[in-house]
Amino acid sequence: MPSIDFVLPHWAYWLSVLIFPAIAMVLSRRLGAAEKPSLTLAYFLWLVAGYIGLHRLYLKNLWGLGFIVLFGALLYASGQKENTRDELSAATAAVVSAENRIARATRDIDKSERDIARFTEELRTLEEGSTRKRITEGRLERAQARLESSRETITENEETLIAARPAEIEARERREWYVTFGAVLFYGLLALMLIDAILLPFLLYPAGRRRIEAAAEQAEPSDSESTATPADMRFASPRGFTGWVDRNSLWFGEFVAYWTVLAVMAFLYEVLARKVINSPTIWVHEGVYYLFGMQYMIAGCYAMLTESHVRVDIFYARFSPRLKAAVDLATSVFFFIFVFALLLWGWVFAMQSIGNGNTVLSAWARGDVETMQLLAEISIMDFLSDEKRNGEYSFNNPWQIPLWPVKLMIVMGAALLLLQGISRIIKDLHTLRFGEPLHKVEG
Amino acid sequence: MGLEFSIELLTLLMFGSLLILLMLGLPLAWVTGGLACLFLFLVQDINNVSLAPTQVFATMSNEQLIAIPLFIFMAAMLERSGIIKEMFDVLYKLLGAIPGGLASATIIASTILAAMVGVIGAAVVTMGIIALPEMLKRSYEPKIAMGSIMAGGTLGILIPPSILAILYAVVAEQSVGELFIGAVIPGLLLSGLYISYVTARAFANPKLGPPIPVEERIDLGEKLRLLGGLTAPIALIFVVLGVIFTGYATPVEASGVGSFGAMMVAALHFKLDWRTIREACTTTLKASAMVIWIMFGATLFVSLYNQQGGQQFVREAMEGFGLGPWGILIVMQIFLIVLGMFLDWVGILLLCVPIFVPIIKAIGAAAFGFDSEADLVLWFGVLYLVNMQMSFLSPPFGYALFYLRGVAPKEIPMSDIFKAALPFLALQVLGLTLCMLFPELVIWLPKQVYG
Repeated sequence: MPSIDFVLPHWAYWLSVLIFPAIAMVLSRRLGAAEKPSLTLAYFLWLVAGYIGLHRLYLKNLWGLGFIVLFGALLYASGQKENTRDELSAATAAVVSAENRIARATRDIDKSERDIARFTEELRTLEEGSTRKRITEGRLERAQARLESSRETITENEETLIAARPAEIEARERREWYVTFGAVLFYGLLALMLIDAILLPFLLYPAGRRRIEAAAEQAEPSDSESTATPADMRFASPRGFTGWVDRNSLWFGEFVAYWTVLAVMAFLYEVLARKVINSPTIWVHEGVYYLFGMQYMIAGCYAMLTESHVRVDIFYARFSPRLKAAVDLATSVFFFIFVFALLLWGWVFAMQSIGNGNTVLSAWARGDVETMQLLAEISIMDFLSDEKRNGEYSFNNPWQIPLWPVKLMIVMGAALLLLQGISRIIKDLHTLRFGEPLHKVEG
Repeated sequence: MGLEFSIELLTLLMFGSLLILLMLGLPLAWVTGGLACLFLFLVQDINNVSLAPTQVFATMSNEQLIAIPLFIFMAAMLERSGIIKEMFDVLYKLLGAIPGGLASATIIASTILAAMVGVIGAAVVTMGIIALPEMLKRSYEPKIAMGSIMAGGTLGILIPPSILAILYAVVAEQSVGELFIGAVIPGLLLSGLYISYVTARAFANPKLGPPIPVEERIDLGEKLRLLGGLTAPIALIFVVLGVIFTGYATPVEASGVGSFGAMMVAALHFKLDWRTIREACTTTLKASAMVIWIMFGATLFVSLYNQQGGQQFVREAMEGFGLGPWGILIVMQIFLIVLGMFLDWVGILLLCVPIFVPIIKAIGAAAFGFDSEADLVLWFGVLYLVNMQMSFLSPPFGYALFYLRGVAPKEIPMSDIFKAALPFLALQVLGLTLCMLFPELVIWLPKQVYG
């Protein structure tokens, strides 16, 4: 089975972060509701979940269940492969240590035998009853004892080996069996998926079509009328500066919202790579949590526009529109304190982070270089070359994702909130003056 | 500016202004964030406001928190896949013949749903749309019907995966997995209490929840066939909770895989298209932004307060009233219940837990009869989760009440919805008391799983 050491390059990370939402935004505006089974979706499911036969289940073809069984077996085989590898190394270690002990004992026997020979020789030449003779006799006895214990060690370890050698062979065979079993399943599943890639259109047309449409009809139809224009659009002012700000917030919010789908796919890849082919990644976790970090910041303005930030409305709900507007204006001081703190100190924080690199951008962030010079000297290579660093990098793991764009998002999120806050003030002032809102939010 | 306030005065100023601004309707995130920055300037120095982006960045790069948007996304996707209606239909046919069976079916469906999603809105709204008309048509007593929908819905934040548990684990620096497992038995206990209550009431007085007419009942073979309809939900629960409890994957990864599973379920129901994805994504964005932005503000607020000695002050004040360990615990629970009537759970969690948990730890495991601090903290965490159930159900501002108001027939007055919640609130108090008296309910299962 292959092991994949795929590491997502930084440029690919940032590119997908920018491109995927763009595609999603275009498609979600163009395409209608699914309702009917589609070949495109069938191929998509084949790509991301074909190993559990989802493309077949989608086309109401129950052979898909067979894929689930095979995939379950593959997961089991991968787990067992790990276990048996540990068992094998334990068994090998047992054999090796027994063999080492025997080798050492054999050397000891040699030495003891030589000692015995030497002491016996010496004893013959020594006088009866002399101190040296007594000492040598003691040495001889000890040498004999050592010889005896070394022999015992050898017998013991040989006995161990009798059990350990077959155990090692057995462990090796078990491991090899699971390796082969896993490989057969892996390539078998792959082959089945490839066959299905060709079969897929035939599964959809024409015989399966009726079955699928019957199933699709059973699924209750969604009311496509009400979802044609997304509900959040109603919060935006129709025109003017406030309209521009509101649509801006909606646009940015929707853009970052699609990152959730990217995160789901990344985690799917991570779990499959680790559990099926034992290749954990270094980039998924970090890539995803910074992605969400950036999303939270940008989401602030979207949630503010759509009234998603919770408030205690015991009294507030009973206020007249005019009083609401007046109270909003007064309390918004605290909103602006928070937003300005994030904007100004966030800027300092981000500049410290960017200043931590070796490009002209970092020099500019440190204040060593004028803005004009920055604009003249900055080049695309600063962002593509491996030696160039535009700012602080993460040292949590070897992937080393740049942190400065994440920190810059604090400034951007605060700036978007500031705009949204100004839009809110304009609306409140309008309500205060005319007694009714600039535009009424339905529902 | 470096003003010197005594801790009593600072407590009064900080929480007093918090209260006033909240009552004036400023969103909690801005109240806490703005006040934190203002007080950083007042008691320390203008340069210390730089703590704001630093703290925000720490929250942004938290590895555990991302399970919150992912579990919300999973719920949003499931909600749009039609799986919830399917599940209720099956249970309703299975249990219809028993008195109060539809109410029981509602609670069981909510429990299963709770094991798939970590929020409460989805269950209450969907059940309100599907189950309420069905029960009213069968002349169920509206209060029983509405109560079981709301109470069942609140199980979403107790039974794992729960975004409340994730947030609690992040704030109290605990293992998400242990908290999830610890909440299983209390969750099933509450669910069991609700079902027993509605069944007992319906048996005592069949008019409250009449069984469906004999001619509409189905035979055993049909029932078994219907059970097949539960395959997808059960499989999804098995995958998500299974991988967490066996340690096969982390809760965060499980949330990712679960979301993928939810998308696949939607695909099998012919509901996966770009429009659905857009709605699910923006719903997720709004719900998680709400939680995280309160976290941005409240973390700053509470860490400033604790840094000024607030935690010690609260503990000394409690001890000053002559409260023992159990007294302090009970006062905390009552305080949480009262807060729950006015404030939402995110705010309560972020304002109270960073102050309460160290106090409980300082009292020590032995005072409550535990062997280790880990058990104590786990137990307190689950008590907190059980307690927060009430904040959703307690009049006048429980969320569940308003979710249901949004979908219930117009002729039902709000006061009836309030009254419907009361017996179930009592059951929740009972559940909380049981968990306090018998800590084994909470810590036994995690011990079996993690050893």
